[in-house]
Amino acid sequence: MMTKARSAVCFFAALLMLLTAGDGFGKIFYSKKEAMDMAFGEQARVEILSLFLTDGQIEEIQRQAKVKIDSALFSFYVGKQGEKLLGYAAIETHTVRTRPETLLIVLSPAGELRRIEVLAFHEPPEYQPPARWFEQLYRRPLAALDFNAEVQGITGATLSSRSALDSARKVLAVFQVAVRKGQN
Amino acid sequence: MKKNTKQLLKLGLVSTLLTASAAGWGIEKPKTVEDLWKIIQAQQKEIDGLKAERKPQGETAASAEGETKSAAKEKDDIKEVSRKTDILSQAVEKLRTQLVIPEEPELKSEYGLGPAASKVYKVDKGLSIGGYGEGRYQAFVSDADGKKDNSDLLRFVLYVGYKFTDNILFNSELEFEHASTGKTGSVSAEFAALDFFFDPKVNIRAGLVLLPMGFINTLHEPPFFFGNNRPEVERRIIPSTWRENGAGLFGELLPGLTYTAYAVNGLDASGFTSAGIRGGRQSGSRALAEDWASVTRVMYVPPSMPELLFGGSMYLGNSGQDQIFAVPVGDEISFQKVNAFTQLYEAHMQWKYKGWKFRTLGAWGHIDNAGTLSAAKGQTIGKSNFGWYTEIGYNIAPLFFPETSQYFAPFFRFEKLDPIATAPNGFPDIENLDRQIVQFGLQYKPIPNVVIKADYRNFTAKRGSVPDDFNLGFGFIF
Repeated sequence: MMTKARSAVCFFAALLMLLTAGDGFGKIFYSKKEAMDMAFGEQARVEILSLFLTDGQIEEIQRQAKVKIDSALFSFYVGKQGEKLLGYAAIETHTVRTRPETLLIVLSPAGELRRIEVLAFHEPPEYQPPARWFEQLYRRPLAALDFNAEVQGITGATLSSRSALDSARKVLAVFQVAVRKGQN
Repeated sequence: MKKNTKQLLKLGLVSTLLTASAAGWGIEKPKTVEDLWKIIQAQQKEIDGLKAERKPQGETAASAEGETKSAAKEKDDIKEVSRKTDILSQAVEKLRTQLVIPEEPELKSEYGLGPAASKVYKVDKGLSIGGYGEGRYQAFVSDADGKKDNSDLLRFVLYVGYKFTDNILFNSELEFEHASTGKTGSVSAEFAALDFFFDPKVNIRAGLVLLPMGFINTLHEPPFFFGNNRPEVERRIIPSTWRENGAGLFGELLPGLTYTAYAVNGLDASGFTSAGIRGGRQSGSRALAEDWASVTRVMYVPPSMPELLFGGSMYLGNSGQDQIFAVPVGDEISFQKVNAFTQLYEAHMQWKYKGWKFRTLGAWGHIDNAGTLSAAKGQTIGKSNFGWYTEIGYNIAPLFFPETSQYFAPFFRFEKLDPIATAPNGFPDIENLDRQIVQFGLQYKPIPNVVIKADYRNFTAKRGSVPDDFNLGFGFIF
């Protein structure tokens, strides 16, 4: 009788664990369409610029961005209105602690950091950096995007702000090495 | 020439391989980003090789006409390979982003409201407009008892929301019922409330609020329930659409565990009838607020099994509203105030799995002083009432068209309800109101926001008959 009761308790405990396990806080805030609208406006035409990075370019990007590049294929979304270039955007996904965060990183036509939006965040919401934290990164040059330079840290969201900063540096470095140099 | 032939053979082979790899999508798509990336790398390598070999070749072949043609063909081939590389690299980017965010905006339910009603929660700032509508043709197929077939634009609803800041927003539902106020239609605010966001766990809502009970009262957009008519249990026992003025808290306490708790003006017992408490709703219009009520709902969606939903809610409050009821006692009239303490409890469960959608809900209510109210109203007011229903549907469209995003589901629903489950002493039960309904039909959604519905309902009463009907209708949200 005791064994049956224990089995029942174990069963319900296991069921409870199963039901409560997993990624409960995961949240997708925007679709790709909405991300492009935020980046370039609803009237813009969006093209994809695929970059096939050479070993030399990867090395240079890694040196400038201080982050590891894990793929030689990088895509920029290029916003245009008629012949006018509106800017560049990248959708970057990285792991914060154990779960991913997806950012939209928008650059001006000249390659200046203009906007960052969180598209999806799967860690608990208290780890998500607020919009005002991202704002301090805008228009700063690549070298200044560093906690040791001009960027203020954020209590309680250290890992997520660090990974966001890494992503911003990566996108700026890719632009400078593979797009701007190609233009010059 | 021999070298040239070899070159052409090589080009042909590469082209064939590439065409097979790209055209092969129709048969078997690359499953992962890595598969596509390998294809792209191979293509890029071939393009580079071809370009390198073509340079000296072009110089020697310039004199011979045949060789010029082959050079032109090589150029076309390279252009074609480059085009395919572009397509593949774009496909890689699409796959990459699809893993983390959807391509198109999706209307999603927020805080228990319908997906279209939740639009304002997703805007950055400023105005948001959404809406829904539904219309139907109703034909009485048996036991019509004088009822006439009819068609009706049941509802056209506009959601208007305004996000003032990240922490404060207003949301509302303005409803036009039955097409024209010149006929039997009406225009009403179904809800109009301010939300104050403090923390995911604790937020405040104040205004005209939808009572968080059951499935339908807060989420009644037509693509999301089976049939042209809302379940009778969620009309007569839980009187949807039920809204009152009030304020309260809502939030997510633990992953997947959400709650809503409001204090609202109580029901008005003078509107209760044999058919239930529906007539006691005050709908925020100059509502009597002598008596207040509490309504609380808890819902749980297990984080590891988001296809499951469990919920329960309760409503508790007096409904007398300090009014004096004229109660016949013998030959005299006694003027009395009653508390008419009203309770309503419900529990519900939903399961969605691989095209299946299953829902079940049970509700039970109790009204104190039902005898006094019955005497004052001259009709039996149920001391207790109950209702339950269960329904299941299955999307069969993917069985015939595996790639389709359309939805085509036959469904079945069974309901049982009785607004006079217990009659007060000295008052007769009205057995015609003790009903069960068997309903089946079809639900077709060419796109998720638009629905075409057809269904048949067979009513059975404990005594007497109730008209059975066939309904054909449409609904949409935006």
